[in-house]
Amino acid sequence: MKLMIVDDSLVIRNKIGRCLLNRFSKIYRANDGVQAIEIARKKNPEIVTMDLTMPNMGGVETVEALLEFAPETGILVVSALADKATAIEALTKGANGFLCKPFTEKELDNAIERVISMRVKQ
Amino acid sequence: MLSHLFGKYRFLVVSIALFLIFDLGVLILNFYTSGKLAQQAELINLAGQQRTLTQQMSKSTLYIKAQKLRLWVYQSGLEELREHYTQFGNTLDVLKNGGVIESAETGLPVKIEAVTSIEGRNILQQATVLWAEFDQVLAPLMVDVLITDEEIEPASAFIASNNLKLYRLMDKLTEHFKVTTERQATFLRRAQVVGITLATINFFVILFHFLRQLSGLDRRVKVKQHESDQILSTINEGVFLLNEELRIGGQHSKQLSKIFATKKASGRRLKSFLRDYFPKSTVATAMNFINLYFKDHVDPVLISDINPLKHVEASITKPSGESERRFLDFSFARLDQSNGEPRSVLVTVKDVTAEILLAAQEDQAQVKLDQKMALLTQILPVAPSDLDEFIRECMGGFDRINSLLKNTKITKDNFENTLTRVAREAHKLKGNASAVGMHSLAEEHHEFENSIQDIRHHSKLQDLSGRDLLPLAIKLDESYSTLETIAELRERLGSYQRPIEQQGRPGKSEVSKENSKWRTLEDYAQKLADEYDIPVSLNLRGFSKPIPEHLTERLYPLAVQLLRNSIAHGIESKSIRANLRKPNKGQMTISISHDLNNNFRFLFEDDGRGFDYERIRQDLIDKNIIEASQAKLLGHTALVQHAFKDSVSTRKKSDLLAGRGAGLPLVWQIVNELEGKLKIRSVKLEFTQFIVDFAYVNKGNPSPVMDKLLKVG
Amino acid sequence: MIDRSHIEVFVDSLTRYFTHLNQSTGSHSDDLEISAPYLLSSKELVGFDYTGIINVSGRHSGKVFITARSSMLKRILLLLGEQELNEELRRDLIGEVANTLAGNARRHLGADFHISTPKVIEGVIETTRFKLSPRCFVLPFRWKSNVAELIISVES
Repeated sequence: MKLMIVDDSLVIRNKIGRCLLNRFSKIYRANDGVQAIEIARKKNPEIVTMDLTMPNMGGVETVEALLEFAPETGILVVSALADKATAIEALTKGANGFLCKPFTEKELDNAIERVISMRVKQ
Repeated sequence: MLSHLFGKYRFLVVSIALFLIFDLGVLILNFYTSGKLAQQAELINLAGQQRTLTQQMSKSTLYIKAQKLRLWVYQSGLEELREHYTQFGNTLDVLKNGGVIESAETGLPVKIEAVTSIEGRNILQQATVLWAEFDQVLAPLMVDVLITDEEIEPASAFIASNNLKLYRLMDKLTEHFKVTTERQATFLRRAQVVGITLATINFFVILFHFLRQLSGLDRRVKVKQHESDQILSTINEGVFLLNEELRIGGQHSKQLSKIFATKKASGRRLKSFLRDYFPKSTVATAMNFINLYFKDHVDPVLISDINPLKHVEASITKPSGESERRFLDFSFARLDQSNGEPRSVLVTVKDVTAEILLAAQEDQAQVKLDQKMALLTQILPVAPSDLDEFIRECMGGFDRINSLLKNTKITKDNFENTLTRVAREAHKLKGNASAVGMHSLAEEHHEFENSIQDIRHHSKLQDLSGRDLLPLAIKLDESYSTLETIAELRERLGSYQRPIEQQGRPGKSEVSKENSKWRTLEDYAQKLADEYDIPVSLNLRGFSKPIPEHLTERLYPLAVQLLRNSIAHGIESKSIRANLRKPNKGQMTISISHDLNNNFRFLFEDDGRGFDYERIRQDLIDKNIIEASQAKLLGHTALVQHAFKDSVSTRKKSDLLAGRGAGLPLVWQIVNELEGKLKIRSVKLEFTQFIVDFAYVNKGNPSPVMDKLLKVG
Repeated sequence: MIDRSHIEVFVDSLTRYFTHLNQSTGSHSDDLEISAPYLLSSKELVGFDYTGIINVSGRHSGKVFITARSSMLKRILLLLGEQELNEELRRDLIGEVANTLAGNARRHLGADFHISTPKVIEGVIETTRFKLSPRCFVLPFRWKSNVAELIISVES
């Protein structure tokens, strides 16, 4: 299974990448929505972690655009709690779950596990 | 599926099937028996007919014989006889062996089965034997149209003697058929009664069973209803179900009504319900959030963090019309339904107002505790006696400020006057607090001075009113509170001892134990020196003998002001001092001396830069105290006088140390209180000396000082 | 401790009351002069001829007093068009003023600020009779040369 981490922070990208290294066969990293869409088209990751506030293309738009051509993708929104309304919008558009920054390794692993199982159910 | 249905409804299905079987059985029996009975009736008729035929044959034979005797035509009689003969014979044959024959009643052909009953067959057997004899005598009559006497005579004779026998046999047969019919009818009736009785019993069984089941169901429903009512009325949270249309379910916990102070929740659209209690934007976000629980792609566990209805503040209007602020916690649980039933969400609402307010109180208590801790660290290094005196002085100072406020008359001038005097008191208190090491209070007094500054600034724009002085009264209250806390801590600490006090301070200026308060000036000077990076050394002289307490009370603040003034304005920085070839440390001296007549001299001296007359002049111009043209004409003495009377400061920026220009006026005030004389000697770049000469009489009562303070200004 | 915002709300309320009184009777609006506020220790004696007292409960608790001289009350009664200026009316008026001030304040301090019906006493207030905060806030003011005081003892 392949994972794509979408976050404009290198620290977060690295942290998520390190935590989930053993779970995925391949991990791609995108630092904004535009890059995420490009990678998703080429590499078809099954699971995506998505930040909400990013330059160029925000998380909500990215979720929408991504699911348009890859509706099977499991998406976990990983963001700070600053704007609950935006997070809710991303979930309404099709993301499967939300994880609040900062998070522990266990919390992330647990959330990813749930997103994977949600994807299987559907 | 079928067996599943049977499982639950087996009894019902079996009962109904039995009912149908019983009914069907009766019906079939009825059908069969009524066929039988119809045939039996036919038999009775046929037997009856045979009986009649015997009579008719006898009659015909007699008729033929009589006609023949009279030689009349007998043909009609013969025809009749032949017809009856054939009919009887055929009928007898059919009864014996079965076959088709004309119905005795309708004349239509009917199929008759051979009689099988023993008695019937017996009778028929006897009849057949008898009929054979009949046949013998009658057969010759059936051949020709002409009948001879030889033919008719024996026949007539035979019939006359045997006719009754045959008649009786046929009558017996009729009777036998009737009895058989009667028996069959009875059987049918009994079978019907039994069948219908069974069916009826079965019906009642079904009915009873059903009623019992229904009442059981009712009872269970009632019990369940009662249980859920009990649960819903005792549950401590607002609980309700939300359907896919986002409507509140028909049942909800009693607590929900309590929390929202409404009885109208059932069946309402959640959105309009929430709008009664929360702002529009909160409701919009909340509804979007709740919608997620109805979406299959969202994992409910992974969204609880973004619940916008957590610790949310609701404005609830009670039935009395009062509105109340409550903090609520909503939580949601998706109920997964089987069998494609519509999805619903369980909503739980908890009133967390008490918890939140408690947490806020705890925070507040924590802040208070922190403040106390800070105060504690400040008071511990202070000797108990010094602290007591500090508290007393401070309290006196606060009381004086309060009196100043209280006795202000309502005019603009008076307000200004009050402000000036309050500022002076505050400045003195700040100095004292700072000297003792009570930074919290010093900070508060600094704030106090800031407020006065703000008010002054404000008053230049428009007329002053008592309203503008509000912050002062409020800040004063805060200072009282802080001081009360200090006093409380002091009380609790009891007679704590500072080890250093017992040890004394060898190698330093000679200060008697009674004058230990003056010692604190050394620390204070050191602290200020460190803070402003201006190294100083303070020498205390004349403190080896006890100084009257009440005198210390007045001179100490004076010393503090001059000390602060010296470090702020007098002593130069290290580099400048080096250039001027002065000692590295700024030298400051405080001395006290008196003659036998209690004429006292208090001296403060530093080796700083001396009075900066030009800066005082500039400040007077900047603050619009004196016109620029006039200021230029002022001599040194006049400038110094201004510095002591008006709020002039040569420090560029105001901070805790100095810069407001309140220091010297305060010195002036204290000198006035002591009814003393102030001499100032200053040489530029060399030194400054403040000398206060006064006569002191110990009246043993501190209050006159306060009285004087109130008069001054 | 005294909460600054509370005091301001009460002072605003006081100003509004007299401004309104002046406006409705066509006299000058600047007749109200507010003096310097000060603190009153609970042991001191206060009170002019008539005092209206309002009990405050809820998140904040305490008392609000408005105390005035008979002469001021008479003037207000005259302005309000009363012919008789008897004691009953004066008592009624001071209670009404206290009620209006607290009522106005309540609008700003929220629903959790509950106020009682006013109580009226005459003469000096024995402050020890009331459970007051260690220091009350006193706002002396003058209206058409008559002095009066607003005393607030509310703790948050």
